[in-house]
Amino acid sequence: MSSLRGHLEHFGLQELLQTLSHGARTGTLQIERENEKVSIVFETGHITLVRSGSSSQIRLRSILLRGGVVSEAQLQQARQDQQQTGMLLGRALIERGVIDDDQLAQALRLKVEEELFDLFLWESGTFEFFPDLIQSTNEDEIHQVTRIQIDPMSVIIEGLRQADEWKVIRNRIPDLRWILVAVDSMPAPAESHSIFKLVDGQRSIDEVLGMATTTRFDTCSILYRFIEEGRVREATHGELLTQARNISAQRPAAALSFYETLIDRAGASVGHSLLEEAAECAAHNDPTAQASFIRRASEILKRDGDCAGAWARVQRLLVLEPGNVEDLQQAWSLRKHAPARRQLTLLDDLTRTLRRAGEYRQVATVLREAEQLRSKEALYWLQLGTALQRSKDPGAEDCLVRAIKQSGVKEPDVALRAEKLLRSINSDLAMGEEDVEDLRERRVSIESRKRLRKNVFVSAVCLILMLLVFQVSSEWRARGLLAAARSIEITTQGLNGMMDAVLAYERVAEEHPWTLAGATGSDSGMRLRNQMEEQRSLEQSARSEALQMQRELRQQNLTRVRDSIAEAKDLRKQEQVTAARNILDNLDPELLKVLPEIELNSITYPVVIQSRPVGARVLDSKQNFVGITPVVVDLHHNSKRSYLVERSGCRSKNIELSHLSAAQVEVSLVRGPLRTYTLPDTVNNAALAGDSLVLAGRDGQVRVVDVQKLSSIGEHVVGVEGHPAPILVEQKGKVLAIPYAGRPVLIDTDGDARPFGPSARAPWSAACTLQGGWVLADVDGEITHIDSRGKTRWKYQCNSPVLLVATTAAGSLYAVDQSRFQHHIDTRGRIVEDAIRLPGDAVHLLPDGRALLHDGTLWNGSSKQNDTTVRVSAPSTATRQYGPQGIYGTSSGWVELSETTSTEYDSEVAPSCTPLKGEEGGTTWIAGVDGILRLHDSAGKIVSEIELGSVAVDLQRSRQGRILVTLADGRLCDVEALSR
Amino acid sequence: MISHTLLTIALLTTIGSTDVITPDELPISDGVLVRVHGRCGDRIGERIKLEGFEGSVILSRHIKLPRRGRKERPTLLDMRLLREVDGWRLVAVHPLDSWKNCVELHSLRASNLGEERQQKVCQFLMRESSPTTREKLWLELETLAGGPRHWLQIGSQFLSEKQQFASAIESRGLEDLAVEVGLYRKDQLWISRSDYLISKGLQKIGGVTRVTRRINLEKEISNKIDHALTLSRNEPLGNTIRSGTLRHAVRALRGDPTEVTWLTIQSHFVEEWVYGDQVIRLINGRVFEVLDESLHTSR
Repeated sequence: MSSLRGHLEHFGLQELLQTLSHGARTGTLQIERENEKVSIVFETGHITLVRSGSSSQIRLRSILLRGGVVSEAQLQQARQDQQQTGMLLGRALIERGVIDDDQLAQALRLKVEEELFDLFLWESGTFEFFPDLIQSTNEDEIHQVTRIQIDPMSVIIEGLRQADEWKVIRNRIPDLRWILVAVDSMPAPAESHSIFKLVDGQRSIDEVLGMATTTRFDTCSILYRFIEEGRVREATHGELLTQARNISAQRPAAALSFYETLIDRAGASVGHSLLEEAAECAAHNDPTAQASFIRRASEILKRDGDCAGAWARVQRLLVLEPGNVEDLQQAWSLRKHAPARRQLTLLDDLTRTLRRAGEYRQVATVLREAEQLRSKEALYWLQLGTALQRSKDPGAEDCLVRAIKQSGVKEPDVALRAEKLLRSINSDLAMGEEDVEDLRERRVSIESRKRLRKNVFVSAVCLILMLLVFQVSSEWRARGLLAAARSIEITTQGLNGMMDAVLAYERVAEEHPWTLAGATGSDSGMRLRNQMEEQRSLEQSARSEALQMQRELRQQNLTRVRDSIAEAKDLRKQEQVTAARNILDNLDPELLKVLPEIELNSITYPVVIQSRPVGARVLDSKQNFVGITPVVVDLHHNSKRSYLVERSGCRSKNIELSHLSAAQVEVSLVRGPLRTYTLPDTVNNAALAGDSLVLAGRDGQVRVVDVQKLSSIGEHVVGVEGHPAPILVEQKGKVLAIPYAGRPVLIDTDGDARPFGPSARAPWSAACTLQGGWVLADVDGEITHIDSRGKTRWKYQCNSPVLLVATTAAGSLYAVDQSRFQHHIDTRGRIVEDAIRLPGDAVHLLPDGRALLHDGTLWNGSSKQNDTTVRVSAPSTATRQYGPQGIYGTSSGWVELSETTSTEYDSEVAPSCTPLKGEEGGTTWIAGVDGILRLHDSAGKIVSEIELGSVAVDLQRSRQGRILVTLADGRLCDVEALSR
Repeated sequence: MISHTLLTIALLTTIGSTDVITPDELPISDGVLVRVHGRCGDRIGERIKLEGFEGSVILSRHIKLPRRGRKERPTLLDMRLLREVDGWRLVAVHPLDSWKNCVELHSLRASNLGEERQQKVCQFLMRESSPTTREKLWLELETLAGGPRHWLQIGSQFLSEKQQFASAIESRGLEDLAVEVGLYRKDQLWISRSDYLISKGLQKIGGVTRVTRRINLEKEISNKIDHALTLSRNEPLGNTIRSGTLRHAVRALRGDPTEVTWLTIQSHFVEEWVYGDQVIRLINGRVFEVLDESLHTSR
């Protein structure tokens, strides 16, 4: 609630400030003038804050800049902070570290003082004081407003002084839009250079005040002094005009200001051309000012008698501000210079605007002025009558009567409206009911006619539109079909493809005959049909040529085949069977098709039947003797024949041959074993002791079989079920079975068994005989020698698990461990020489000290490829030793090793177990992985075959000369060692 | 402690800069205070291992070693070692700025050293080189390594099973020498003794080579023999292999094992039967443990 209010005219600002200061008041003083409002905050009689709207910040920026405290760039950055955070400018500068609190307080003090000094210039305005109210405290705190303290008394003295001086200055410089020009003849002033430089004949005084680094008052004082001293002068009319024209494009607002100054300066004598120039300039940014200038120009032109020119300007005005009554009236006054049609439009606009404004009297006046134009129109009289009726003019009745008369039969509507209005004014003058009814009927009749016309028109338009839509849609669909037809033409090949395209094109023409696409489809279809005809004739001729060539080729082939058959027949006669067969086999089966069937069936294919062993009788299906193998039989094309091949002591075999059989057919007349004995479990190791065969498997049992009777004579538990099979080592008719775990067992020829030697401390890994006793080795690297009574004689320790042990011809012992070291030990368990590293993994040790390595290298102490190192095929089976000679199987045959030589033999099938030397000199038994036991002669040729039915795991020869074969399926069989 | 630190500082300041050596040369170094470029290994109490040095060095209390991740290679350090009665003492340590400079420095040194030292430096250079450039470096060291035997020995430490290593041996006819220095032929390649033993399922303990599977079995079962016996006394269950199943039942169900190991612990017969996917352990002929082979191998 305010406690003090009044007008500045009655109670001056200095008195206000004095009162509030002396009373040590706290509150807010608001001073208002037109649209300006300033708030001054008092705290115990001191001014702490002044708010003067947006100009407040501009003034602060100006103070900071002219004080050199901040740069323009820093201010720009602070303004960006301000926009982002909403803080005040001073606080933003402090946050950025550009100024400190003291500098801000100083700048704010100056700002407040300047604002207060400006207030002293106010000659009128109202004020109101709100005690104990410090406005927007919260907002100020949020924005961190910096408060200062100013003694109002110091402000009053300076403010009054400035107010006095300001009056003098404003008398001399009444308009701040003035442009000042430096007088050339006068020297530059000794001081205030910066302001003098701003006076350049282009800037207005207002602009200079904004740019100067001093206060507005000080700047104005200096400019005033310059004018008084004659250093500067006000720009002339011409200079101002030139300047305005120069800057109108770049700075239209400034240029407009110059124009306004010029127009003000010219006063009543201003010319229309200057006004129009100003209007052009204002068009960029101030349409209201533009209209104002044009309006004045129009008035001047009208005054000067240039009515046509005035009419043209008014036209522009009507465009700029349509509906302006003054402009319309001005235009109406200038109507003589307008065409009649425009006059009518203008009349309508003016009367409508006036009617809206309720100025019916003026409407009536205007209409009366337009009587010449529209006196023949019933509507005119109705409008005039209505306006007169509204302005209560008695002439309204006559006008309405005239409107009724003139309306006649063509405008019953106007007549009815006039009659209705007339009836309301004076019912005596109203028409009779019959006449009114007649008018109404006429109006209905006219309206229905109008409606009919309208309906006909609308229907016609709709029909046209429908036809158009139909045509367009038809065209679109036709184009779609045409595109599809084109795509068929492009993508398809051959006559069929072309035919498809033709049909597609013709479909377009058939379905959419009245479209452009339909016409195109028809043309394209025709074109393609012609192309098809041409292509068809070309293809026909090419086909007949190809047929001719085919006939010729067939004849050539026939001749060639007949020649080949004749040649084969000749060769067959000359007993060159293979050559004859080769010719027939090389004939292309396709070529043979050219032969007549009789000729084809007469071709004979010779086939050589061979047997293994040779010398078998060959009988045909009717038991007719054909010959002794090898024999040649001739087979006709597409015929099958069966033959029986038989030989004494061998199995007979039936074979079926056709012309597709190989040129040579070999028949194997294999035998079967003599006897078979099935063992309870599979066997891994076997050893022969006299007439007993000792067999060991993984079931923890060792079985002894009488080889003569082929029946079991003993079964002993040796080792542990599931463990690797015991190692079997034969010596002097006794077999030592060394289990993987536990104590070895000695088995004699009768099949009796007894524990023998020490129990295993670690899994036994190798064993051999030595000096009538045995040597056992384990995976802990310990080698133990036991004598013939089973007592341990000595022990030897290797550093690694022992892999192999073997006796040398000289009676010493070789042992190879898993680190590939070969140890040489004498019969007393002492080292003969240092252990030697082998270059590879040894699989067998020969009595002469050589080691057979896994890759087939026979190593004799050096890995170099010298004379004493031999490389043969890698072993695939264990090695069997016959004194100094050894034999082992490979992936393609077997190898026989002697002290000086090594011989490799090839076999048809890889051996499945260690080969066995035959009784006859040089023969070898090989059990193949195909389950057939073969006897090879010294040249490696097969001389006999025995079908075993399973893969052999061991071969032994009994003293009776029979071959004892242990099979993987757990059977044992014996085979005669006779070759046939 | 203070006196010791003072002594160290005094030594460092009086002796000044010393020739830099590699950890491999430490056993043959006769200096009192040596400067060594190398990497620290595991720390055991107050001692720490150095890569390339078989023994360990005493760690002074004031020494702060750079921290490293568990799988990270130790930082290359510039160390000062002081000879003491009970071995070398690490008295100062600084991280090296550039690995490249260090390697170049020792490469240059090697050409001016005696045969024995050259070999040691070559060993250091090989260890510090990246696996991709190691084969090339080894070929370059042929003249520096102090003869083909030493050259092969260095190669055997770092290039086991490398094609280029094998090619170099073949092309120079050094097969016999390769066998002598302890290399093993594996197909067309040459591998180190340790790699060979691993490939054969062997392990060297105290100068003796043993079967790894037996050693592991002994280690694992020795501590839980009573538990194993308890488990083996469980009742066998139908066609399932579990604790208590008898040996012949296992064989009937799974057939013969591909590998068998046994040993005797406290007069109990312990077996390990290996199948493709399973390891079955038996004690006195009864199952007490069935393991997954992949897990067993990883252990």
